[in-house]
Amino acid sequence: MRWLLTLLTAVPLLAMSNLEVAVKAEKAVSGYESSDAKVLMTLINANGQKSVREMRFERIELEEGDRSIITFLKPSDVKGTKLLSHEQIGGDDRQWIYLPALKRVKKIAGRNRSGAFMASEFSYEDIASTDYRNYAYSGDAVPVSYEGAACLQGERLPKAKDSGYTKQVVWVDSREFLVRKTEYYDRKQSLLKTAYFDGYKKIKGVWRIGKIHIVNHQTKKQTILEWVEDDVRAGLGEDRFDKRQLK
Amino acid sequence: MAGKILWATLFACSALWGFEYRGTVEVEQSFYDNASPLKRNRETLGAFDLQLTHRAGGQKLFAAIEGLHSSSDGEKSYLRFNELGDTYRSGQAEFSIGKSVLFWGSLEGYNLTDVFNTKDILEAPYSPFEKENKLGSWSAGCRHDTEYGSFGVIAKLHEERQEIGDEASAYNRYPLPYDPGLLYEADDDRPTLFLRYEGSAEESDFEYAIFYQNGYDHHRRLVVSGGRLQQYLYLVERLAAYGTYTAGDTLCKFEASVTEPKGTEASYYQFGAGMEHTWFGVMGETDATLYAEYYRSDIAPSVELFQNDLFVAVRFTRNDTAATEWSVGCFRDMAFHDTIVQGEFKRRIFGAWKLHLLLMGIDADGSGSALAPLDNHRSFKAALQYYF
Repeated sequence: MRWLLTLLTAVPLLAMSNLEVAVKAEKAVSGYESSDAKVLMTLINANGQKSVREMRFERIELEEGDRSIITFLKPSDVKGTKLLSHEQIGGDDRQWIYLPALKRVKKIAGRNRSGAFMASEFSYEDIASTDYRNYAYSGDAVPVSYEGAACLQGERLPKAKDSGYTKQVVWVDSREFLVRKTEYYDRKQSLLKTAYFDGYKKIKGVWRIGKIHIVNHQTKKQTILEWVEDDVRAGLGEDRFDKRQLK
Repeated sequence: MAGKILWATLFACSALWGFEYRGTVEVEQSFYDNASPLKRNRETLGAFDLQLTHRAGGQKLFAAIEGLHSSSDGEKSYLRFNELGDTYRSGQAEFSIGKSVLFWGSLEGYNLTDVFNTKDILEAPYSPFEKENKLGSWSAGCRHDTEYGSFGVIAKLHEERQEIGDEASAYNRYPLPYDPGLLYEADDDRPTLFLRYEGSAEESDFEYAIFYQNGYDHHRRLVVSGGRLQQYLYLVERLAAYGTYTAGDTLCKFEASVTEPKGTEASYYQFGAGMEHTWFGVMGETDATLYAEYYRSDIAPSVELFQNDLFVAVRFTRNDTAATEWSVGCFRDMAFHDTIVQGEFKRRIFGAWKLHLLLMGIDADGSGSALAPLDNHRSFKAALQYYF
């Protein structure tokens, strides 16, 4: 009886706000300084037909917002095309594209954040806006069980006015604070897609995702993103993420 | 046999030394509807290009090998290094030497500040839509980067010859035989110097570049020499600038230059301004981009198409696995009432293969314009491209 009383009084003290969970989830995968990864993206249409893309992801952690370069390796006709993104916390990211056939670096105007990334089920905002400060939080996270693991479930609302989502529901592992699942609700408040996060491993002491499987409930299309090579503290300098270095 | 050995050697070397590579092999069938019966009305072309890059530390070696062969035009056949060089980066400084292709400018239709490389006019000399066809230029330069900009000096060491198709070519409209040999105002080894500053104002989302040029103009005057037409290169000083301002989903752009020849040629100015706006998801997964630009200049119409011209184009891009793209663009010369219209379709087929269809129409109404010899001209091109 005494242990039950202790537990009941402890529960309110242990309750975590959604914001606290988000901060911890961000901290859990931070500290990579810069990363260099090769990623396979498999697109699966409603009939089960597959199509594979290959990309190199380079990223650097910065206080004012992360910066990334995505270099397209396959299909061959877009090989060498680079997309440079400078994340702007709470605002529109700055983006430039390098077109190797023209040797041209071109500014991209306010890229439609909800637009599909390379015909996949990922949108540009799924790829770029990972910082917790891009979302609004309220209330406490709810302890739930997900695939036998204790998780904290909570909502977050995108701050960007042109976001393709009205809300996202996130399941976070309550032990390591790693995101396990996210549900995305479209502008009509309907469930649009679910992303499943898997294959976490520690590289140089930093948690890294291994696989994201995303299922679009409305189109029945799926996309699987797999990290086939990954390195953290990769020694990439901030100047590498300058548009003048894209050529 | 020699070709096979060359290819095998290139691939073996590139694999051995860790070169990144990308390239295209293309077969193209073109049809021309000409007013003149003396001109060719169809042509089959085979083309390839291979770009190699090797990076080690701050060093980057690069090369671009290009080949072209026409079934009927004897002048359209070459195998060349269009780029071959080395760049070395140390701290905030970058040094480069070799033969290279650069892009300067911000507009979409016509880039009046893209003056570094000589245009390759062998395939489509009258089409302003052909922007990829440039001849690599031998040069040496260095650049210093700062937080918000970079200052660079680059010397172009050699002027490239412009070859054209044979006399039956749909686009060879010269009244006399053409000699690609160049005539110079000064020495042929006189370098052309460019001083450049490129910067950005982060707060206002404005990016710009400004440069000073001293040397040979990229515009060339045709002169008669020994009963043949040759290009005459004259010395100029030029001050030019271009920039892009981002306002939400719209890009506002400009390019401008003033050119003062050192000899007896007339000075001239060029100016262009325009906008680019994209609507996303206009038809399901399709995005539509509108381009609208205006160009103004007092340059002689015999050397340049754009004196008082409008450019309007729409590009539809379908965000599907085939990366389907349609575009329609039109240049309208309001001084000479000439019109150039082009429709284009691109679609990925069979993985690494791509289909490219191109329809171009030229209606040259003005007797004094550079397009006048073409009168009413139509062309259709269908190309199958393999990417690796």
